[in-house]
Amino acid sequence: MTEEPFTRRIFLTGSWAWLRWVAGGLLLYPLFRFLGYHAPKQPRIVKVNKIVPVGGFVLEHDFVLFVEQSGAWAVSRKCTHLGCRLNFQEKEGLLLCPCHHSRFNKEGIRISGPAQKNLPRFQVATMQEDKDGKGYLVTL
Amino acid sequence: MERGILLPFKIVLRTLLIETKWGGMSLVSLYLSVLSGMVVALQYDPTTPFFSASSLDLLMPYGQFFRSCHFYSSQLFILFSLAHLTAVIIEKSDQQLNFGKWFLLVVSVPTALLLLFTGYVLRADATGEAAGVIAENITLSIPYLGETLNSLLFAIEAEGMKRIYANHLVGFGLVWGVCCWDHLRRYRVSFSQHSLLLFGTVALSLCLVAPMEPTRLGLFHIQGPWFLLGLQELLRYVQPFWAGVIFPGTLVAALVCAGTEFPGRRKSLLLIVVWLIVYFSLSIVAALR
Repeated sequence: MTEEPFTRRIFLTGSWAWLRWVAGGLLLYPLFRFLGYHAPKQPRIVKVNKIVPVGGFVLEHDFVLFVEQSGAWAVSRKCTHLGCRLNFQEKEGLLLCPCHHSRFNKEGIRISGPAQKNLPRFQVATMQEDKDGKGYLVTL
Repeated sequence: MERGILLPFKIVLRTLLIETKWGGMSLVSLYLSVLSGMVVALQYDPTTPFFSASSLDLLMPYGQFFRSCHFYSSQLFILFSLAHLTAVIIEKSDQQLNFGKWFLLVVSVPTALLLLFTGYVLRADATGEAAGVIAENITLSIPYLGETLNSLLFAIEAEGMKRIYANHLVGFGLVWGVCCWDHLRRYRVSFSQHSLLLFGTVALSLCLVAPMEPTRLGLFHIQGPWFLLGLQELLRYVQPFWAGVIFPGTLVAALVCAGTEFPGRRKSLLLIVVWLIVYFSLSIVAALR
């Protein structure tokens, strides 16, 4: 059995097939870039429509708002380990993760547990009495 | 003497494991799970998952029954599938399959577990919500592929329950079907062959409501689904990628290798046994917390 000679026609046909595969592969690049891009989130402002006494706190879905003599601040309720929603242990003054028991203080600083990072803090503005009433604006 | 006492017990246990038609029972449970799941899906709304799931229990006529039926039949499907897999390995039936077919059947196991797991997440109660974000973060911990895989499988943070619902309803089911297609073409099972199991599951669903744990103030401990308790405990000590990807991946790899011939099979079986002992111990610790 003799081997077919490697002609120009065979070379061009083979190259054309490879070129189509490469072109198809290249098309995947913009697709992955497109899918991988995350548009920055628009800041969300959450209104807390109540006055919290000094030493008190408000537990919202995404954050805990604390009020002390020094002012008001809010920390995220999303655990920096794997994202579970933290709850506030009033007696110990700690935020506790119900999944893997990471602990954070009221300032959001990590105390113990598998989480390695502190909790994000959100900007809080106190609303003085106006047409919207009293309370706090938390920017997430 | 001791051996003489234990021998009949071992024979009975072995016979029970091998003679029981776990595969058929698993398939009938799957039929029931799919049927009840279709009924539940007609009322479930992924845009308001917890409200929707709790409405099934509290408001809709027989909603509690259908949700429980879906829950228990799915649990049984997994349990019987695992028993079937164990029996196959003990009986060495896997040696009769070629490597490709065995590989696909092994892949169907984590796929079925993902199907079950996404059901917990879709409930969106305290357990479901936590399980969802943990799965998402574990997936994101995979180098290079994490983002793409997450956007394909979960993306709960960005998309809510949309993608996870699509995967629960179609995606994972399709993958499972492809993996088991050849296997199920040869083994047909009808409802009538396992009517006792069928009635038992329906009766169980009527008597026992499927779990639902609303998120509430002062919830300081959440226990994950029973099959993920060991993982939940491991995540306390080990990085998410190692605990959630490499550790379970080792078991899957060992199961795949168990289908090969001696001596690879022997080593794989040893690894599987050690893995199961470790995981079971971790699960016990997690359950006692």
